[in-house]
Amino acid sequence: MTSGTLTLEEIEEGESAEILSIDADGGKFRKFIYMGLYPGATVRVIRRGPAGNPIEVLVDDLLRIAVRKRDARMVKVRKGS
Amino acid sequence: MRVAFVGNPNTGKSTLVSSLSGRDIRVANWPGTTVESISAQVRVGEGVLHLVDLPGVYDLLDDGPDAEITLRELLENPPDAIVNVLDASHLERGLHLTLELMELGIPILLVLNMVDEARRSGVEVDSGKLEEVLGIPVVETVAVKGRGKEEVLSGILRARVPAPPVSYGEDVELALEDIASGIEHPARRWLALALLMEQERPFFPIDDSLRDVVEGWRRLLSARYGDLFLYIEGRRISVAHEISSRVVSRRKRRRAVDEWLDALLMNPVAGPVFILLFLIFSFRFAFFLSSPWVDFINTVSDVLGGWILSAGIRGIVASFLIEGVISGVGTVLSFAPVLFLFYLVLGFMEYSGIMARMAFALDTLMAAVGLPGKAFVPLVMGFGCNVPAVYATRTLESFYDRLRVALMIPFMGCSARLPVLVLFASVFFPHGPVPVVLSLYLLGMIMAFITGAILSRMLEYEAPSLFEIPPYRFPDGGRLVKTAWDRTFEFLRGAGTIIMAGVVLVWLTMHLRISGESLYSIISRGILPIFRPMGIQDWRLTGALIPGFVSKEVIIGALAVGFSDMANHLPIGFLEGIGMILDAFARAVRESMGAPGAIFGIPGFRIPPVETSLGDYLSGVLTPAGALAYMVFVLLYTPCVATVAAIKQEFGGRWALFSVLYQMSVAFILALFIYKIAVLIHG
Repeated sequence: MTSGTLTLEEIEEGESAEILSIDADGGKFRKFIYMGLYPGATVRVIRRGPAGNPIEVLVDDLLRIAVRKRDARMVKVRKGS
Repeated sequence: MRVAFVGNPNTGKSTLVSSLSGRDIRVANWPGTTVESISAQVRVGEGVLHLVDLPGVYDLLDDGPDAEITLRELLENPPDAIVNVLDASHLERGLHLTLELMELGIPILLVLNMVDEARRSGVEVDSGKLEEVLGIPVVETVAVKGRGKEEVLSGILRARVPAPPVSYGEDVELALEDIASGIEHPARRWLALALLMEQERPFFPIDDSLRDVVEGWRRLLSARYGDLFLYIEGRRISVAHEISSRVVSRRKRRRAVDEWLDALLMNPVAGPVFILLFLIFSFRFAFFLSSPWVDFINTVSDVLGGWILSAGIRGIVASFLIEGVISGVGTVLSFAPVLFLFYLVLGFMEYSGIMARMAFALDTLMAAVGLPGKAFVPLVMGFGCNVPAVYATRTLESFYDRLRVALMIPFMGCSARLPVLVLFASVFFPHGPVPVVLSLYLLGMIMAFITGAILSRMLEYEAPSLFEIPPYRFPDGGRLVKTAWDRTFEFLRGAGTIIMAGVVLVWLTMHLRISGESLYSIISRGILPIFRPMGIQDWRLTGALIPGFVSKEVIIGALAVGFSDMANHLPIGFLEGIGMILDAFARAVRESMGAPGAIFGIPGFRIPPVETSLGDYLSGVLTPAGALAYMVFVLLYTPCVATVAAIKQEFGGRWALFSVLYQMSVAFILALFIYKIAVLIHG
């Protein structure tokens, strides 16, 4: 992985990041979009569930979305916003 | 004039349709599928609007039956107008579908629903500006309160065919024009887009010459834009984003109580504990509050039977009326209190925002079988009663998730199976009946999870599991009661006939005689050889399984008195009967009052004294190993007729049949297996 690019899974609690891209196609890609997770959106990790799953993120300071670790790996982000 | 209501799931489409039409709603099954759609009629001036409520979708090209039904209806039978319902709090998500619907060449009205709630959470949508930007009429509503009804009706009449809202670039537009000129359909622009996106649908076939044209354009355009599906999607996404940023203004506001509750319920350790306690207590509440009313309905059936006998009706006619008709109607009605209360609890969880926290706390557990965290709720509900649990799968978004959970539910040992298991355990394992019963329940749960895991492999469905965590809301009691009642009524109407048919069928096996022998005994003896390898040697044991299809608790009665024995029905005088009904009513009211206290009692089960004659008979015909096999079989062998009816209503006859056959096979294999092991250990 190139330096500076992380996946959403690697963001610590309380940290913010900007979504760069989503590694999914068709219906899977769309599912992220419906939940407001489009490239350019800002996400902040609020907390993690039991055994680290799922991850609660605050999207664009408005929506709270729970994402499974498996799916968070498809979301490429850059730290800070 | 036909008007189709289209929108994302949970935007209040159905609520809007029913509030527009009053109570005149008809539920129709769509051919070849199982997802229901509601249609209704409403009079406007001298015209009549025919309202069609289509399944909720995010995109017309989504996978799964919901999107297919909606798309098929819009293409094969184009409505005169579309009412596109959006949740004002989630404008951007909804606009994505709006932009797609606007390509269909059908007049369209946009309804911004739940504006009050959006406002409360700090979202303000400028609907005038939205109307201007999109060039279609926009109306604000609060469907649950009936606000904005008139505006919707007049808006429908104002709706016009919109101009295409998204431009995809000069070359793509040229391609669309070229492809569309070869299509004879009002939605030709949308169809041309779908073809460029390589999204053909079997119900809209295209000829080879058109396919060549499309192929040519695809090659040309993908050289410039890459994957055309992603390109077209991407254009719609950015247009939706741009429009929403122009018309939506937000105030950030989050209450301290939300933070505090989330810290508790979504804590990795305390969260699951609180959630489990909440589930157990609320389902116990539903259960304790409903059971006095089930008893009341049973008393009424007994009294009606007694009246028939005292009217001098005897013999086969009396038996048919009492054990067929009255018992059938009684069985159907006795589900009403259970369903109503479970729906009330479910509605509370969903609406208050607690359901999303449950999904969060239990996500890890359910992820193991490839299901969303929410799926836990119907499964736990299954321990109370499988029937509302099947309907509770509606809270899941994807059809395949709903189906998988519904097929897992019959493995959850419901409360009707408990008395049978307790009876056998106390006769054959007098020193430790409780661990035996508990391990059987555990066996059912394990089988449910294995089933879930196998099905998720077979259905190969791995959509990302994302869900929203909404702010907490205090539910509106009146609305909860109305929704719970509507759903209960839907069950009574939809499943009632199937349950009745099941009861009458069982009655027939008892009374139909073939050369002097009842069908009941012919079947019981006929299937006995299958059960011999698992130590079940008596036809009365296999016979009791037949009425067990109606309800598993009936098995005890069938073993104890012989099912068709009329001796337990006595004639009852008119006044005496009225007195009994009033008594039963008073008792039900009294016990309901005590229910909130009872839910905090220690969970457990009381072991009732077994009639010696029944106990002696059972230990005479079964060994403990055979008893274990019989218990396993009873626990698993088939969902009861009401559960089958529920599965049929939700997923269609084929899946209902599959469920029965699957449960049968699993029950048979496991019973045999456990018998063999028990024999190996104990000789």
